[in-house]
Amino acid sequence: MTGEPERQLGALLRSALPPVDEPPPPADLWPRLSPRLAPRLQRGQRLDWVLALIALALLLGVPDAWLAVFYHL
Amino acid sequence: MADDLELYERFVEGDLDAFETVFRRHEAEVYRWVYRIVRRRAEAEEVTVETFWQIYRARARFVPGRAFAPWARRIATNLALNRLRTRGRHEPLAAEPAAPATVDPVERRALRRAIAAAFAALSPKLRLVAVLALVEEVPYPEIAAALGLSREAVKSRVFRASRQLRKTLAAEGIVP
Repeated sequence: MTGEPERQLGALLRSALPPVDEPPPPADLWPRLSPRLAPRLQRGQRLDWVLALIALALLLGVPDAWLAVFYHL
Repeated sequence: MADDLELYERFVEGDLDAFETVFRRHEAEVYRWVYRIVRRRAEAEEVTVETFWQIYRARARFVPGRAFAPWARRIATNLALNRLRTRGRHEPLAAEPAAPATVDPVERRALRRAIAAAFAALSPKLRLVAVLALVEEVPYPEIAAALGLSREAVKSRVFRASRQLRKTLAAEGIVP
């Protein structure tokens, strides 16, 4: 701030609206933010399930594929 | 700081654990800054959450190795300004912190009401710089960095805000 008029105005304003030295502590805000990130996690999880179902369908449709799977285990 | 660089690189890549660490590290600072502008706990919390959501979405634009705090503060300031805009022009400025009772409480209440009304009459842009510069006494360069403006532009806004505040207060018979 510069100048005496601004200093006087500032003093008057602060007498009615004191500056915030230490605001009240916030609640833990992570739980309020993380649900917004959750769809991204769920998308990844959904993809895992889709891949597992495709693999299962393949194994059921082509029973001989079990042998190949067991061979590679 | 190689650890920090790695942390911010992982954050930019979308690693959620890294993002949570970044959040925990900067949450309090962002909240404090926002609180000084909006002066209401619930709103400060909401704006802080929104700030970090925007930060997460804009992570690809962050350059690891550069300072994170000023970038976060700039996003927070814009969102706090939006919050002032949605509050409406004539909604009084909140003043949660209690003033010390050194003068007549009735007189003080009237003064507070008049000053809150004078602030409410300012446009959100002017209200924001007036609160930061005149009430919180934040140095101009710091305000300029948070708003992405030049120091001169901030000075000009403070001047305009002061002129308008004086005029409104003078109409109520209050002369600083």
